[in-house]
Amino acid sequence: MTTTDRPATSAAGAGVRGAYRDERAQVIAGSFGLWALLATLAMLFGGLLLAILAIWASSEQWPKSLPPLPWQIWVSTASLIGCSIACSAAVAADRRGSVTGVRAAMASALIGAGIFTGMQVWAWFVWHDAVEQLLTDDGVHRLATTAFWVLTGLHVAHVLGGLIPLGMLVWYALWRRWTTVRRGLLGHTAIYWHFLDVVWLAMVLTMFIIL
Amino acid sequence: MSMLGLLATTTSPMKLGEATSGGTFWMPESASTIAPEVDFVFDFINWINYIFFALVVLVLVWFAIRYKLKPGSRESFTPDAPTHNTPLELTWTTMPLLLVGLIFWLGMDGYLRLTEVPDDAYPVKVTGQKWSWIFEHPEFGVIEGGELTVPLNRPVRMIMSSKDVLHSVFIPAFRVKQDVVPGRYTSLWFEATRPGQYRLYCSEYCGMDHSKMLAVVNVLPEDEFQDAMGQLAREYEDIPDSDLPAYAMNRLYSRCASCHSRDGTSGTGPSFVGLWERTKNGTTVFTDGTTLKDHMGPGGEFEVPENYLRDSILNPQHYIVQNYMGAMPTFKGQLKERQVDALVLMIKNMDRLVDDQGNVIENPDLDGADISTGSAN
Amino acid sequence: MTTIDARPMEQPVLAGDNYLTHTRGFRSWFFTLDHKRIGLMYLVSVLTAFLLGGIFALLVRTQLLVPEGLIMDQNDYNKAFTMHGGIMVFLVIIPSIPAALGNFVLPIMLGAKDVAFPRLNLFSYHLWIVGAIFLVMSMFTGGLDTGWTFYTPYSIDQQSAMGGVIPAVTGAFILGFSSIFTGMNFIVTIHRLRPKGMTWFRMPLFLWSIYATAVIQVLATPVLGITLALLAVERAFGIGIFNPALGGDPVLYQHFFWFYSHPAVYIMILPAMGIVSELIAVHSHRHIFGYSFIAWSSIAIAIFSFIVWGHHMFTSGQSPLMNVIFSLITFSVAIPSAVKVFNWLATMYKGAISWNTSMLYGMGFIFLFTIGGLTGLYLGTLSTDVHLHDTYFVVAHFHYVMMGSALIGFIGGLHHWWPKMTGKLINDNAGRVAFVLFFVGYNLTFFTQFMLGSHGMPRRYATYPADAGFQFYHILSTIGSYMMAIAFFMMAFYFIGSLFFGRRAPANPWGGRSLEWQCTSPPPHDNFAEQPEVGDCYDFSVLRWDEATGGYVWREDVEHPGQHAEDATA
Repeated sequence: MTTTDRPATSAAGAGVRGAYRDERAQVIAGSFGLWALLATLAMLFGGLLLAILAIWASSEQWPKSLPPLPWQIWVSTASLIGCSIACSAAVAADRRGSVTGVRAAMASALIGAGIFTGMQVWAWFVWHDAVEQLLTDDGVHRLATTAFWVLTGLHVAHVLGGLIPLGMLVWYALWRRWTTVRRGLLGHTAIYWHFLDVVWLAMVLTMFIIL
Repeated sequence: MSMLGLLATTTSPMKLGEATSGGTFWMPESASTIAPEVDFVFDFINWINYIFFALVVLVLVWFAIRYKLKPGSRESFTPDAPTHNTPLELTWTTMPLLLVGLIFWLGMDGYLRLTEVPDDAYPVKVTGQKWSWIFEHPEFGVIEGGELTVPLNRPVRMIMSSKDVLHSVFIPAFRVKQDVVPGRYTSLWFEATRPGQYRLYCSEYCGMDHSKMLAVVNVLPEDEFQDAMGQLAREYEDIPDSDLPAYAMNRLYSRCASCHSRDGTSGTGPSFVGLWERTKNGTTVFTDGTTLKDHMGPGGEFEVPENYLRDSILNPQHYIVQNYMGAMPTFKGQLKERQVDALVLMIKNMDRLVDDQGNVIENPDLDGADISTGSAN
Repeated sequence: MTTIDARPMEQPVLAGDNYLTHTRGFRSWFFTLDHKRIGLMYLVSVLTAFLLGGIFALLVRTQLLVPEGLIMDQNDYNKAFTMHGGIMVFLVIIPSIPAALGNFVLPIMLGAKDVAFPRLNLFSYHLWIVGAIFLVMSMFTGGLDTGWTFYTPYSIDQQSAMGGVIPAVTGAFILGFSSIFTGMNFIVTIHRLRPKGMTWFRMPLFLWSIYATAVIQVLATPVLGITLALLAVERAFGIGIFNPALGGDPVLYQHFFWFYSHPAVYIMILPAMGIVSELIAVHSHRHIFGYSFIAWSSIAIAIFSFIVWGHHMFTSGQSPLMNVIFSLITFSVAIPSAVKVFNWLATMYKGAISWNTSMLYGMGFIFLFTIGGLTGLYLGTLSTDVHLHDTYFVVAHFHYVMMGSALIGFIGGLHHWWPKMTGKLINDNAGRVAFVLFFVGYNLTFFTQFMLGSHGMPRRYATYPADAGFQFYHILSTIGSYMMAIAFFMMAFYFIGSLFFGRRAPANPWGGRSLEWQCTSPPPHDNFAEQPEVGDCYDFSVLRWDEATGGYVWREDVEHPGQHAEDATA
């Protein structure tokens, strides 16, 4: 997009966009926006979990014995938590003023997120092999077993979304000037990944209950 | 009511016209024990609304005229006008609260009576399916379609379920309504207080012929009701084979009517006109590319062509005719063996039962008609 | 006291550069980050969709002139009312006020240069376009005949509903996110970009209502999103979350759908209430009465809206206890609505009321909203709702609220801010005539539908029994709808005409005091050079009529906020 007709600068200094007095004001607005986004996503995931739990609770023929969750799920869980911790470490390193610390932590976060996504895709195939018979059995079996893909699929979509700011931050940390706005983005990204953690744990718990 | 009237093809519009007369400005005729209670609550809210609305509009018009900006004067701001008045505002916050509380209580009271079914209620099993109603009287072993006969001054409980999508039973004269949901039973009850015929609508959108999913509730005094049920229970056993086609046209066709025309036009399903010709000759083409003829040879599934008609009624998803979407529900368990026979005979003799415009011939000439139902008997 | 010219409010009209002329070319509009241009693009898009939805409405009304249906078969009728509902709800009413007028006015009211996230704002608009394309596309991919509610199991059954379901729910899903992002943007903008002197309880009431709306958009719309996503997955892959044949529950769908769609009613009506608060105060030239009651009632409505959805399901088969609870909570919504009506009336008391087109819409709103609100009482009451549910009574009720109130608020707001948006004044006499025609046609169309419904005419019927006495009301209703159509064409005519022949608008033609009346008409690209300071935006006593410019200016003998700064720069 080249046609930015709004002046990119104002009296307060370079890099301030739009209506803000200064970079700090822009970061604060960003964090308000982040919390609004998380509220929306919380309703989104909450709605899905509630729908599936409601069906599970009211169904009389819910299947009793299903295959255990693939082991990859537990690796995913560990790597996602690791990624989240790495983000926090990056924020802490940034506070200390350690550029190397930020770089190392961001790189580990990106690797953790990559492992998570890979494990997920693997788990989908493993699960498919495990439940292939049940899929064609009857409606309830189909519903119960596909819940795995529906739940994790929606989560992975948000992990992929989270990879974008993560990748941008790695890029900034390695090769670009470290500004107030980018520092703000780091804090926000960390919060977003913590949120993904919480959602993931709620999902694993739900799957544990219903499967 | 005579037997003849009961078995009339469709209920005559005149009688239903009567049913819709006798209502008030706001409400249709009231013909159940609950209706006067509902109407009372409705009128109560009406009066509250008339008063409130008149108040708001009067004040609105009065202020608009009284405080109209004078021509030529654009300066008449009134800084002394009050900007708030907390006691006044609290008053008009709490006053409606009390009123709506009262309305809520009245409505709840009436509703809870609607949910308490009397123990001795007469049961009717209702099945909704696209796009017709089927009413079953378990006490008499009678199944009706398109018309529901119920006793006067006796609570009736409808136990309802759907075969496909959501439907809803709505009888305006009784002020009752309940959704009919697939996979579960819902119920409603009423006690009719006036003999007559009342319309029953499907009020939950259910697809193409939603607006044709109508039925008639026929309220009869107890003795007439018992007679009618007795007649209906024996109906098919008593009828000679030669009368079966006409019977099917009068008593069963209404369940097919929303999809299968009798004037040759194509609907959701193929028209019944010419259906027997196509069947007999095996020219019907199915969605899988085969023709009926392919299944008709010696030893084939439909060696006896009547069996194709029978199969289509009881197992409609088995073969779907090309260019149709296969929307038909099964009628297995809803029709007695002799009723299926009657339908097969009706289709076979369609040309004798209806004229070119699709109107039913009053006393059809069935002499020499083919009244064999194939080897299935 | 310095010369008048120094003050922004009294700058000469159209002095040089404004947001319309700032840059040229398609790309400078379609990829603009300027909230005013985005608002204007929304406006054009929404009005185009309104034309389309209106055509479907006229088709539906024409069909019902005769019992057996005049112009369409059953399937075409079902498609027509579905597209009418879908377009009007998702493409017109929900984005009309927040996205079109709100986008234009909100940042200027705050004295800000733009919304908090201009790129996100543009992205919302592009999402709207994509969503609209999907929704309209459903007409050409097999058609859509589910009704705008997409009730299951009808919508997920390949045998039943037509092939347009997946494009349509995809469209609604995308439009939902467009709406969410707009809401997020407005929340942050109002939190972070208020000017000096504008405390929460000094905000123009329009901003309060937009804020309450945005909260609902952010919290309720994702639930619709996930519900529609599940529906699409279910239809495509046969997973039966809402399908009883596959172990699911169709009533669960209704719970989820109405958890969004009831609050959505307030997404539509709250902004209109905010506009009416502005219209009544400004055109009565009188301080709004009971500011804090109106502001709090917006918040109360937003909160209550989340816990009343079950009143759409009194006959669905949910338990009687649930019905009683939902009925009780539903009545609580009546209170803040009533409070607003009383406060608006009290605002007119001792005012100096201009009978211009905008004010007529404001007063028309009070009239129609009162009917819409009061008829809600029959539907919240359990025993009467059982009779009235899914009949034309409900159709009439929600049209009084969604069209008679929400859309009237939008049209009123459009008249109010049109001079600011385009710099041109409309022909007020034409506006008044169109209003009268619209108002009479409106009541003829929809009041008759109350009678139809209470006498038992069900919704979504392509045909109706000839002997049930319905036809008379249907004919009246259809005549009314044609009158409204004529009125809308008149509006289109004089709005477009004003662009070419209209008188130039002064900065402040009505005597408003919120900040949008303090920049030129149309506003400059940057709105304000520096964020201004504000006082009580409903205290009009500091304004006077200025014959020379044909608008209102500050009174010289009374101090106004920010005056010292202006004096200094002058």
